[in-house]
Amino acid sequence: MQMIGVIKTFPSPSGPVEVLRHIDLVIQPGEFVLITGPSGSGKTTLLNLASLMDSPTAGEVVFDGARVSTMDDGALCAVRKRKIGMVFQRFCLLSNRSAFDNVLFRFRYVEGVNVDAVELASKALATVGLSRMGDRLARKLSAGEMQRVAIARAIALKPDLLVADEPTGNLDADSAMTVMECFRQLNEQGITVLMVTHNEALRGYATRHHVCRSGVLE
Amino acid sequence: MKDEAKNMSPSLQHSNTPILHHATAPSPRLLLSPLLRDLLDGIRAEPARVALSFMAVTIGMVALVLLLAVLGGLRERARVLVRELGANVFAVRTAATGESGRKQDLEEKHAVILRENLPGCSVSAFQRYELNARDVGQAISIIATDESLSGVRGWTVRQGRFIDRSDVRNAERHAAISVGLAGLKKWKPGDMVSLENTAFKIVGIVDPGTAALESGSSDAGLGVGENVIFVPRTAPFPRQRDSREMSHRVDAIFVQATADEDFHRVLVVAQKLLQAPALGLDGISWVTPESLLQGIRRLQGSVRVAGGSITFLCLVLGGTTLMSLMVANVRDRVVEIGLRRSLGATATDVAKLFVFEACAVTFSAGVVGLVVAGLILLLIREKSSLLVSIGASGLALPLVLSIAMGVIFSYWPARMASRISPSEALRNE
Repeated sequence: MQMIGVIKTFPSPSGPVEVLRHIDLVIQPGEFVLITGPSGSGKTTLLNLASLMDSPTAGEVVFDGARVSTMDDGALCAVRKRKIGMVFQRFCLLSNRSAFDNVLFRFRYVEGVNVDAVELASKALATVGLSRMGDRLARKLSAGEMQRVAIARAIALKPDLLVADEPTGNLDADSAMTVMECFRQLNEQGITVLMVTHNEALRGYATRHHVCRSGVLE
Repeated sequence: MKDEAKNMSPSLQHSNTPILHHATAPSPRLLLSPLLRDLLDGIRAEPARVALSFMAVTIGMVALVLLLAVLGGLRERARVLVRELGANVFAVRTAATGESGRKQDLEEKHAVILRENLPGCSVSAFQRYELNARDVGQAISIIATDESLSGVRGWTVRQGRFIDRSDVRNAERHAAISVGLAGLKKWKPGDMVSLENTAFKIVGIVDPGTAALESGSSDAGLGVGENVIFVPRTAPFPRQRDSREMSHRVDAIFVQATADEDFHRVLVVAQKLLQAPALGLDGISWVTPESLLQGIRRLQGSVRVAGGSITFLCLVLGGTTLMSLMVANVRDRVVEIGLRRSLGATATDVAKLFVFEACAVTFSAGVVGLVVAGLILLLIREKSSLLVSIGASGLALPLVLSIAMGVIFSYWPARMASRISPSEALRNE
């Protein structure tokens, strides 16, 4: 994934606000890139651009050799579907479904729920150490367990890039460490990780660390 | 923390990852299609709002089915009336009073005039008497008529025969009875029956229809009723001897044009013949299929406007309730929309989700509405004389309309949902 001179502005009553300023970033396969920075520095915006959930105002994002600006909504969705896994601060689980069903939901827009999907979802759940929790409703899990289910959902399709937005932001210290350990193991297994957080203490898990301040990457 | 970390699989790619049975065995819900699971989740997320929308649409559907059933009943009644009158048949009968204020009776001579001047047409007349109940223990009508009545009215002879020309010419004491009377009294051809001390031999059983012309029509008097005995008009029935005037009176004359004849031309000729000043018949009324249907058509129009307005309002109310449900649903599920987009859902996928949810609510409301309306219609049939009828198209229309309502009233919320930017949706997280 590559960002070349990326600028992102948002409209506001007082005129456009430039949130990201000339971002140049290259993430190589197998890296664990951590971006830290204070609130409002543009971390999440950068992550949204990297995960193709948003498009830059100027500059170019290149994913897997393809220029994102040339892709239509269908093509962007296809890339997100197959190549990108996302983990969110508040987990984004379907509370009425079991942990296993939440992981299986990764395949909702992939052709059909077949035996492979069930097997891959089971493996992903096992990977984050929640095999025994598969039948439990998501809303009955602890915060740490919820985040691990969210990670299992993100990795179930073996994505090229795993992006995480403040994945430990809602967790206590022990759960946060468990989750970070999970990310480290996944990275060791070859999954590229891009994570943003305001927690500088997590930099030790990453292979590369950037600081985002006022829309500029240092 | 360390213990939990140890629980993790050493490798995502490792094919021998120990997987417990309960984690791998798909739950029964997995057998449902993903779309159906989405629908169930959507409904469970807002049960109260869904119930309100469901009720509102159901009420609209019940109103629609009842309206269709009442209109269908009126159509059915119109068909029955025309069928009972007979194919290509018109009738002339004595009005209550003539324009001059004195009673104007039709007589047998008027039927003769029509017979002689309308060659090729079948003409039949009848005179009705109410039989003294003491004789048979039941209210029975005696119809003194000729051999043509059964043919003109298109009745079916079930057993034996109707009275024939020979019976009329020879004034035979022969009688045909209606199916209703045959069932009631267990009479059959060959039995003898005493009518006011005059014995008649039953020669046949005839089915004179449902008596619709008798019971509900404004043209009451053309029907013959259910419990009827047909006797030759020439037979020595006691009441016919009451007076000379009475013996020549007829209650109605029926004229059947042949298929080759122009029905309206025959009608016009007949009207000219009987309205000739020389006859002095100024108090007769003409009954045609068109005149029979006039009242029903007026009623149909009123029901269509009044019932249709109420039904329309009910359906629009249901639709707007549904739309408010869907708008609230979209607002409450913005993060879910973002999640779905992050998992690869296109804008169309998101729109479809809300359209399908709305259609699931309206379609199930349509089905329940049909069932409830069906029960109400059964009650109406049991407890009232109102004729209601609904055909296959009447059953299909509410279902089709319910799906159309789902699509129409969820279009805007679904469009709203599909236009939410994925990053904006997740910002609400």
